[in-house]
Amino acid sequence: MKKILLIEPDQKTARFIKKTLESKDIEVFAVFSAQEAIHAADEAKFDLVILELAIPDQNGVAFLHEFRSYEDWSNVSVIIHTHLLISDQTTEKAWQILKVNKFLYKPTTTLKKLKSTVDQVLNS
Amino acid sequence: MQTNKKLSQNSYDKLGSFALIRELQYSLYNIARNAELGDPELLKEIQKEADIALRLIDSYLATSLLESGQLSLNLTTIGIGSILHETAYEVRATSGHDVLVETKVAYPVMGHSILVKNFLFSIGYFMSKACSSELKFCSFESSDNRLAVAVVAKNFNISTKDLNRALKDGSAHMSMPKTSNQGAIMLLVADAIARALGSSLSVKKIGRQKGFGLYLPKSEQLTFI
Repeated sequence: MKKILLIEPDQKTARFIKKTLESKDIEVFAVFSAQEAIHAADEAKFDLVILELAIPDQNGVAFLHEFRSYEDWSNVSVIIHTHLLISDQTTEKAWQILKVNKFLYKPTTTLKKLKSTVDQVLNS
Repeated sequence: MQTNKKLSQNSYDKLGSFALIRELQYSLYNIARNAELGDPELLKEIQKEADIALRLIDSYLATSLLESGQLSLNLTTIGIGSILHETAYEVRATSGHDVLVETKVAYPVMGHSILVKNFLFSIGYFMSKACSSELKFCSFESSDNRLAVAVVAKNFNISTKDLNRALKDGSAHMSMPKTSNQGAIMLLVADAIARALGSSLSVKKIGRQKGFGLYLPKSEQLTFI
């Protein structure tokens, strides 16, 4: 059973992403803030983190820096799934440093695309 | 000096447009993805999302038309009690949040029923996202012959000073715990509606409950009731 930590502040969005991704082989834990995410990652071992950068209590990139600073979480796969527009140049380097597997721009990413990306990352 | 004022208004307008677009982007995203999922159980969610988006566009359009002078507004005597009850019901139905109404003082005021309803809905919807405790839609008498109309909640744990400051720069949504970027436009729209009604959006405090509201002048018709 693969475990996904979904960090998504919008509860409606979290609900249908969870519904899309969950299967008999995949379990999704949805949290709504950075603090809850750190707490959840402390409690369980996750195979993948899906992160919305616009989280209410912390800058998403700062959160990722903090997340990666812990040895246990330094190699967990991460997909950024955000509605924030960020310049390609900045992100390219930042994502390499922060070991981000995929960057998905939320407004143009269908659930089908999200699902296939998740499957691809989990099976890589 | 005039240039600065104009720039500041331009920035405010842009902030409003960005916030509106972001909110609609969220709504349309949720509608599109829910439709993609095709789950009949989610149809109600899609409908709520679309209703909120329509209401938002309606409020934004009305205040934009008023501000640009393409629409003029005649304030009339309105009964605030029924408006508080109706809007509280709508916020409860849309957000699923617990909502109470307290109308100890509800004499007729000068206003515009649709705009006052939209004002209260915007604040109520925003507060439902920012607070986990029940909301209270209320009216109370102010010291200067006006009626204060507000939406407040218990666990709005931010100082009045911070709320006022956040209102000024349009970033109140950023200060709220457990709130995503959504809802920002609701405060901006509420502010624009309050101005259209000759008032201003302000922080309201009732005991330990805090929130937002506006003042409306008493109606002359009060003397005939």
